[in-house]
Amino acid sequence: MSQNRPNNERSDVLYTIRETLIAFKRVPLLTGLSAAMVGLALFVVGLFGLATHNLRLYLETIEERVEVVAYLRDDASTADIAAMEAALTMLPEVLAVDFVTKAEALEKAYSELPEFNEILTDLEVNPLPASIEIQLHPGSRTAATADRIAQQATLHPIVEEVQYGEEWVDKLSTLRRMGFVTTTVLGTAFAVVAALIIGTAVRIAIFARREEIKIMQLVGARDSFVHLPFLLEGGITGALGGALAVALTYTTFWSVFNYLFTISWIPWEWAGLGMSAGIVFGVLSSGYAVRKHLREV
Amino acid sequence: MIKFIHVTKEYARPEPALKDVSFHLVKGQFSFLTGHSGSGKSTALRLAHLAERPTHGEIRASGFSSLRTSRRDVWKLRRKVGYVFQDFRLLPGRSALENVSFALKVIGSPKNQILPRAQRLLGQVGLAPKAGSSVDELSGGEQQRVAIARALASEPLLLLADEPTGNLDERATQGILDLFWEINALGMAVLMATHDLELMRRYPTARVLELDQGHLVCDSGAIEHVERDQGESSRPGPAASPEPASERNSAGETNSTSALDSTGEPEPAQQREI
Repeated sequence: MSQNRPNNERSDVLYTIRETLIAFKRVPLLTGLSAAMVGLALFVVGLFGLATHNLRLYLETIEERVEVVAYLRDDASTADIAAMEAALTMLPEVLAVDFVTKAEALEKAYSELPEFNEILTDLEVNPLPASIEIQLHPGSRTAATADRIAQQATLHPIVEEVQYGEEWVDKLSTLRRMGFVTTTVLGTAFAVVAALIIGTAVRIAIFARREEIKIMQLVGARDSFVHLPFLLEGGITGALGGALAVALTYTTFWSVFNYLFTISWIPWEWAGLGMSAGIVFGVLSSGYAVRKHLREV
Repeated sequence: MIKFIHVTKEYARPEPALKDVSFHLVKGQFSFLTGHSGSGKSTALRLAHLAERPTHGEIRASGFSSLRTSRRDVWKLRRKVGYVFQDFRLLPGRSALENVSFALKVIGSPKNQILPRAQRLLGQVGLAPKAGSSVDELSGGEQQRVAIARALASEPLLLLADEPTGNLDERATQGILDLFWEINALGMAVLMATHDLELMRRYPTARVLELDQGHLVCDSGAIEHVERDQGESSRPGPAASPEPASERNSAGETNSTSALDSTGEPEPAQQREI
């Protein structure tokens, strides 16, 4: 008996694969429709992922502009400036500090404000102050942190004034919070809807073959023997659906990128996660549906 | 082989589907389970196949007890007890050979033995020439033969048949009954549910169990036992075969001896001689 077990197990695996392929071949329309339903459900999630990813990138670009600028008094000595730079660099929220001389500030004004070039050229004295630009770490680009760093900078006697665009940093923080809540709620809703659609698609395919399940049971099939081909089938349907969703999402990305505006493709890990979700949902739905039919006999 | 011990089956309705039913079928016995529609015949067969569990009492079939066999182990019983349905329950779109092969695959027959065995089983039920035909193209009688061949795939010791001739014409019915008789002659016990009294009359040596509103009202096996004790023939011929209680009087009463012995345990019925 025990000697036959490995052979039987190998035979079971081969049977599972063969039966799964035969089932696909026998009812290609049903299998295709199931995979298409799974694909469309995941496509919606994929589109949401694409939009979320690009929104996140856009917000990050804006956030990069969040910096605290400390304008220095004209009489600030080089030693004082170096000391202030060193003190600011020590702060954990600070990514980098950059000293901008009066001359560099004027040059920057020339390049960034060309409409004022004539006025700037006529000036006999450079009115622009030297400054220290303080860049914050990505996780610290909030109004509260910027305000705290600004207060730290103000403590230095060589500082004339500190600015960090308080209003728009506040708005950016609010926008980011709204984005997080919206993407979490919508993402969860889309994922649940996708799971329900995948579950329904797989269960419809299994319902169409419930007689087969009953017959298998009646002639003495073990539950695992009945389960395996359907689990594999659910997984393959989920994988096919996931692949279709990735293809449709990529086509959408390509079309928008080439004909409308520049956007970024989602990280491939996300695409892999979507396909994995399709496989997992397919297997779980399949297992649940078969289990339900098994309990009927 | 199969033993019902004070079996009661209740559903969500006032009257139980089976009420305190006890009987014992022995190896190689051919028995009819009869009664009107709704008398509990199908329930009894489903219970015997452990498709359902009794509410009270115990069923022992081929060494498996309804009290001790878990749902996960029911497959072991199913390989020893074949089941044939009125509606055949074949896999549509597949050939007769594929339907029988499917059962052989399911029970784990070696790959190289599946086709020869399926062909042999179809030959046994007289369908070898139509092995390659799709079951959808076969007549009702032929489809039932495929179902019987499939039920025989696991070489069961007992064959349960739930109104197997209910959808067949007279000629096909006779063919199926003859086939059951031949199978029984090889030593396999057969318990066949039917309400066709005419059919039962053609096989007077078979044991008859009659259900009425869930009660076992007649068991010819028990009568045989009494007759044997009285020194009469142990093999019931046509004259000795009891008519079902429903035929005997209009009130549905029966004079048959109870299927239980004095201890309340079901008495084993006598084995039919082949």
